[in-house]
Amino acid sequence: MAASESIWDKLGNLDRRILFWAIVLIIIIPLIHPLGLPVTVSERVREAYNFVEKAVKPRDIALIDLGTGLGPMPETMPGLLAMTRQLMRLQARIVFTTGYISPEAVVVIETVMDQTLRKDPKFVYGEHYVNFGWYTGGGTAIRRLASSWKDVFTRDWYGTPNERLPIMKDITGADSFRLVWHVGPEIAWITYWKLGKNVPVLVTYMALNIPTYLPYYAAGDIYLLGGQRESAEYEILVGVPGPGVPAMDYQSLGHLFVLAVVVLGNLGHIRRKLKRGTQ
Amino acid sequence: MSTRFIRRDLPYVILAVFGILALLSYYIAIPAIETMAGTSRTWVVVVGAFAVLLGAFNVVRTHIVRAYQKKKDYWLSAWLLFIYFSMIVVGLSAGTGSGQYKWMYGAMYTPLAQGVVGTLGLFLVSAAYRAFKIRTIESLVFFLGFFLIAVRQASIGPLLWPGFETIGNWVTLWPSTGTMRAVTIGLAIGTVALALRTLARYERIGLEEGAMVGGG
Repeated sequence: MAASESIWDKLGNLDRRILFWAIVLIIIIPLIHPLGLPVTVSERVREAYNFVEKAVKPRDIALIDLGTGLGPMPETMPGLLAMTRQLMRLQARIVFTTGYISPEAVVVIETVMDQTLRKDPKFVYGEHYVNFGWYTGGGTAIRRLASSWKDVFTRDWYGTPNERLPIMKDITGADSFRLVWHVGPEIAWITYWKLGKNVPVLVTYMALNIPTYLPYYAAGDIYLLGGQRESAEYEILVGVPGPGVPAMDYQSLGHLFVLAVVVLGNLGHIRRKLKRGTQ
Repeated sequence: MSTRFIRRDLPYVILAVFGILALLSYYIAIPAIETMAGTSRTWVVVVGAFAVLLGAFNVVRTHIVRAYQKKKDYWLSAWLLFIYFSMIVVGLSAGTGSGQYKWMYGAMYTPLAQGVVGTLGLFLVSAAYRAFKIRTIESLVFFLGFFLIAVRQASIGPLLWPGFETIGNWVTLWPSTGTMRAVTIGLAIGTVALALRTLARYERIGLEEGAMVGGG
């Protein structure tokens, strides 16, 4: 039977290990030898960038909240770094928090601070930026942060009491912040901070989860960056090279490969259907 | 107070009191109610922290028992406990901002966590190849949507044909947004109905024997 299989049947019945190796090679080769595929900036990303440029003035306070762990970071980290750099250029003060139920999000915050704020001696911890780390309580805690910050955080992640953090003189609740940038799936930022306190909210998350946010974006409630491509686009707008743009090479090839694989998987099926139709 | 009251009725009383308090604070601007509701929200944060602590103790207890009784793959439980306490010891002694703690995360945990997520890519390719068969008009429409978004999200898409960008954006902004709007509104109405049924004790919340969360 095997000898009578056509090339189309064989392509429709590939060993999955071949597919595994193919996708591994498709990702590794552009990592070793970048293709330099150009990235065009979409309207949605430009809107978010322009908003931050116009809205944030020196000494304004921006809140960056992580609602996710390490898994989605290849998609979201480039945007996170680019946004932090943009806020630094605009001389904003930055507060980091996370509601993700694992300490790994705090490690992401540490990584972001290591690669950006801690490299610039003009930014002093406690005065220009602070890491409050982790809170529990999800949406309820987010609502409480909006009305009374000190009811959720009495000290920063390293144990320093609020009274010894100069930035805390200007933070009471949502009204103290110029914007929130949430990386993750938590809708409560929109409900309690944007709709409740009119604080502009920017969201970035994996492309997979972006449809959840689309109704809010369409209603003008949020600015939205979706997935690796839009993170890379933000990187281009900020103008500081990062991991996002080079990653688009293997992401592009990976997407094309998955599409090709779906077509391949359907070849045998379509052929059998055609055969049945002619009999 | 009987055990039955404490186990079955008291949780409903607590739920009803705090639920109604939260509702009132949203709709009625009375400072006393707002203060009480605010305090209850602070309690949620504290209770949440204790719940995490309870979860951590449960993990330790479960795996100590598994390792001690030498159940199947007990060495994985022993390894989990070793890593678990190593992180705690380093975190408490050197601090979570220390180089050692960050190294444990950066060099050990991060590659593993991202590797697990990355592995999904391999299964996605395999599943797309074997299971994604275009048998009906609906599956063809699904494939076309997938095709347009996948090409639009890749930077190579607009290079191949600028129209991919325009059509991909259209799919995102109109059919996708419209569908998600319906899902979001439906979910919100369902959540309100579920909350009211729970407050009125028409929904069981997993306290009775054999009850399921949300089961009617």
